[in-house]
Amino acid sequence: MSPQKKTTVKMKKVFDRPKSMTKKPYHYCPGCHHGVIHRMLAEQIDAYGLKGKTIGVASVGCSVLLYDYFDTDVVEAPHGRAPAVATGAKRAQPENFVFTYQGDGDLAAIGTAEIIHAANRGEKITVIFVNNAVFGMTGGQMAPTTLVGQVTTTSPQGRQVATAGPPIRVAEMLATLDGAAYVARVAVNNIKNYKVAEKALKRAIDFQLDGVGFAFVEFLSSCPTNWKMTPQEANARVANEMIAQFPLGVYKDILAAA
Amino acid sequence: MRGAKFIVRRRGRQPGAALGPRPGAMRKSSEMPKVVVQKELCKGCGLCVDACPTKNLAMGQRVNAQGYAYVVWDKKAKCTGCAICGRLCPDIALRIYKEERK
Amino acid sequence: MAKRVLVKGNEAICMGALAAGCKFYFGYPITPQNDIPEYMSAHMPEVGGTFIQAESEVASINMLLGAAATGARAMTSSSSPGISLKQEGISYLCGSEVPGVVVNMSRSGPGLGGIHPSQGDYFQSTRGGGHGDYRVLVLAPSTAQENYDLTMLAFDLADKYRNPVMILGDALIGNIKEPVELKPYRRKIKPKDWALTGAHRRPRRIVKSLFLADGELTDHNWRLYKKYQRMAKETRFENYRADDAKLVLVAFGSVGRILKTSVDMLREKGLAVGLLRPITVYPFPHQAVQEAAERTGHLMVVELNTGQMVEDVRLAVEGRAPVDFYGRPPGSIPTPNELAKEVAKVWRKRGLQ
Repeated sequence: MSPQKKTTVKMKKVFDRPKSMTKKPYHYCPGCHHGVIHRMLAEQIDAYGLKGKTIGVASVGCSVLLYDYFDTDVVEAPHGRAPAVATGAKRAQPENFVFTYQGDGDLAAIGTAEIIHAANRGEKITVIFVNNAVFGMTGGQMAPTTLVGQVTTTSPQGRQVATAGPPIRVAEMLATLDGAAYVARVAVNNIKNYKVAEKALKRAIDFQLDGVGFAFVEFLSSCPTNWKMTPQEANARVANEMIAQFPLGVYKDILAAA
Repeated sequence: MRGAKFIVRRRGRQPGAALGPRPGAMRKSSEMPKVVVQKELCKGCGLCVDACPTKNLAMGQRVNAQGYAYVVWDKKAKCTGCAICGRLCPDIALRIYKEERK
Repeated sequence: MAKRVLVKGNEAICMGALAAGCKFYFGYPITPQNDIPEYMSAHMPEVGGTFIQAESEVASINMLLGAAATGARAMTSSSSPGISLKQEGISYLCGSEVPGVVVNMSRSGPGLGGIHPSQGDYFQSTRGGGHGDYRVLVLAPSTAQENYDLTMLAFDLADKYRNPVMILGDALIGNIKEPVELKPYRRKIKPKDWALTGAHRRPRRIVKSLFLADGELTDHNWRLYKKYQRMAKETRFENYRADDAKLVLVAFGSVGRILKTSVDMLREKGLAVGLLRPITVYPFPHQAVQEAAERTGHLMVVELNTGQMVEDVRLAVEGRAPVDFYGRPPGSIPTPNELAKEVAKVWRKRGLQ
């Protein structure tokens, strides 16, 4: 290096809390993927410059306090109804980015009608579905996506197909609707899956911003507390058990088919 | 300047001055990318420890105000600033800095 | 001179809504109010508004929540069983302080019941209906003209109090065809400083009803309570030949209109009866009822149910005067003659001259 040449070297912060997040520490359990998914979404809201043009729709579940973490306009929806609330909000504010953020109880149990019809009407919203195969907030009861044999507080012998039926594959189901434009299932249990998830989320946002149609991303998630596992064991379960039942992939992409 | 408190102040330098070698100086290990753990946000889940490709992070021995044993970053080890740890951290507890030469 | 049209009661509600700047309608078919979604499906696009036939009454009240949270004037309609489904949504609207108009064209119940006119939803409408401590402003029209006028008023009151307002009609009020004068809507709709429009160059806003911090919800509920007390000044009622009456009938909605004819018939026979017709059933015209009781000492309530509004009348009277009751649970519409006979019975029983 020439002594005459003046180079300034700075340590630049290259990874930080997204601006569209508040500074409030999460209430989520150690190892919970909600924290990862929230940040991934907020990072995209920053990247797309949407902080002042977003209306989030919070649902009922562990993420009920989503409005504490996203520094955007947010409306609270009753359990299961977020896609309907989002429909009203997006129709009234079409220039705003409207997303729902729902768990498997909210979306796949009480909210099945609302998600199917919002998808089928092709509402230009982005739905983030966090599937951890259990009702987290209420203490670990069986969910529509609970795996066969999985022990929960309301399936103490493990989920029995004979009485409870098998788990529902929501992404596949929504992909059958002609009205749905983008349907994907992803995971964030390791960096490889994380990167694919980020691409899917970006595409789901693009579909709304470009006015293409209804976009849905199902995130397989861990629930260490209710699965009674460490975060590491829980991530392993996502890898070894959940993905087998809920395969990752893009189930519908009306622009890719063309 | 945001992040200023994380910059090591050297004697004789003005506050806010660029950190880094004076022209002609040898590159020191303190100019490698670095990870700063926000210890009060860390819940000790350890997912970053598993994910780091160069094994720079480890479970710490000390406990924060919430009662969690927070992770520690080994500043002597080789960090590439890949930010895998940051991305997989469920609590946004990691801040990552990289050298910027102008 | 405003235009006069011959329309169905249900349609008059739609016309009032559109006149008041309602641009969002979400509904679901249920007899006897299907004219409302049908009319809106045709006319909302004409004013650049949005019509959605939702997948259920539950979905439609939630779509209303979403649209109204952004500051839009939005409406939904249904009939009794569908209104039961909307109760959760109405509770959320009240807890989140989001305005909206909910139209209930009551039908007979309970359960699937029938499609006859009914007043069996009085408790549901005025006692909250859903969970939690809240109140909904309830307007009870008795003519197609009132359908039109009160729907316009409903949007103003909803915005004024940041609360849902209910139009409580029934199968008769919805399906009767009458002339309606289409008075123009002249008020200026004010922008809402709490509405979600994207936090561009302003602090972000949250529309929610969850308050977990210690004492927070207590304060919130007291605030709502004070609001409901302020709503008392919106009380409206009609006195029909009641000022010099010796026996005052109290009835709302369709029974109110039938009884006007009964009152005229009885007056011709020399019975000095009159009618006090609440137009708001919440807030209930307690004072007017009390005055009628003090003036005459004789009240009689007539309803299309087994006894709901009569409780409010008795509460208002506080035991100072006897309150007679004639209830006709839904299943057949009473004629003015039938009701006149029942009133005459009470007149004689009370020994009135």
